[in-house]
Amino acid sequence: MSPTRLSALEVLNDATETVARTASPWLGVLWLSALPARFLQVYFYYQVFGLSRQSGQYGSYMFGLAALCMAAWLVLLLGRLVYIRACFMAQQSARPPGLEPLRLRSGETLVFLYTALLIEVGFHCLFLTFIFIPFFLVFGGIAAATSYGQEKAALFQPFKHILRVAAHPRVLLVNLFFMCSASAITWINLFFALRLAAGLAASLNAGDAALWNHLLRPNPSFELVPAEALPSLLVLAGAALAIEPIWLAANVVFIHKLRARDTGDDLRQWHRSIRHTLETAA
Amino acid sequence: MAQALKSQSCANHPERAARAVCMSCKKAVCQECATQWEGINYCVQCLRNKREKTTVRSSTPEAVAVVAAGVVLFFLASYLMMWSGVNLARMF
Repeated sequence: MSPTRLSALEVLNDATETVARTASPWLGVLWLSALPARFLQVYFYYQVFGLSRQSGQYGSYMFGLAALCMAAWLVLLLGRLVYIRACFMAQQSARPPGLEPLRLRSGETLVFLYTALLIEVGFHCLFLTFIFIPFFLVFGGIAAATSYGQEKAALFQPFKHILRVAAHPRVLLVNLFFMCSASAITWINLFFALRLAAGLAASLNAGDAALWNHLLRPNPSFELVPAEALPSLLVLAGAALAIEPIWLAANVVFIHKLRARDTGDDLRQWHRSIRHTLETAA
Repeated sequence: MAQALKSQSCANHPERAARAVCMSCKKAVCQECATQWEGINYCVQCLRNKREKTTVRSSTPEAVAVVAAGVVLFFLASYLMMWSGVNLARMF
């Protein structure tokens, strides 16, 4: 372990360990809280593509649907905060945290919801440019992890914490690259797993197998993705669900390491590990 | 000050010699009971009172502002989601 340099691969390795330690039951909490938001987002964009150019004429309906998505998004954020608390507690102690992650503090909850909503506003403002989407994903992850341990709600203080973390772009960009690659691979794998299941159902003459085979047919111009909008969106939501825990854990590990470096805890731990090695050798 | 402390015992632990004076309540306290905050010695009780006052005074108005901003941002985010969705549909 080096006390001076933060490595992106070390962060990812520690993140996978953290996910394994918090998976039961906190991964379930994260997924349960995320499912309504993901399904509603899929439905929203399915309606958008279904109505196509006419969607502008259904303003109040679309706004109602968007507000419902945002309400479900708030539930997802609370689940995310619980999961982040569990990840931080797993970093701080080897003992299981019990029900402590569920005891959300008002300060960190308000800070997290506020910063996440502001990032969401920025995301939707610049969504159509596409190139800014990864930056908002990075800031969303940092906002989630930096909210842990904040005792009081503040309008500007959370952004100082976020910008301090954003001053280490190398680790963040490497993490982003791995997460985007993993999402794309998961998307393709999920699509093929669903096609395999539909193919098996068809061979067993199970009900509606022909319909599922039709829905899950590959895109003729690029066979790795579905041809229909609804399965594409559903598989994308599934990939987001699968990658979200490791993405959040990577952010938690990174910020935990940064905080340890600021307080000198990493040096203390390094010193302890050296002493332990010397004592064992003696 | 050091000479005066030598003859005194800790207000919380009478069997121990005093090592510091709380700058808030002026009680003599032992090393364990004294905590330095911004370079000034305080006893445990005074530090706790100070912390509670600081937290209550500074967090309430900002918490209200954060909640109000959160409500505005919620509706703004919903509107922008609809706006970006409609424009996305026009693109394809």
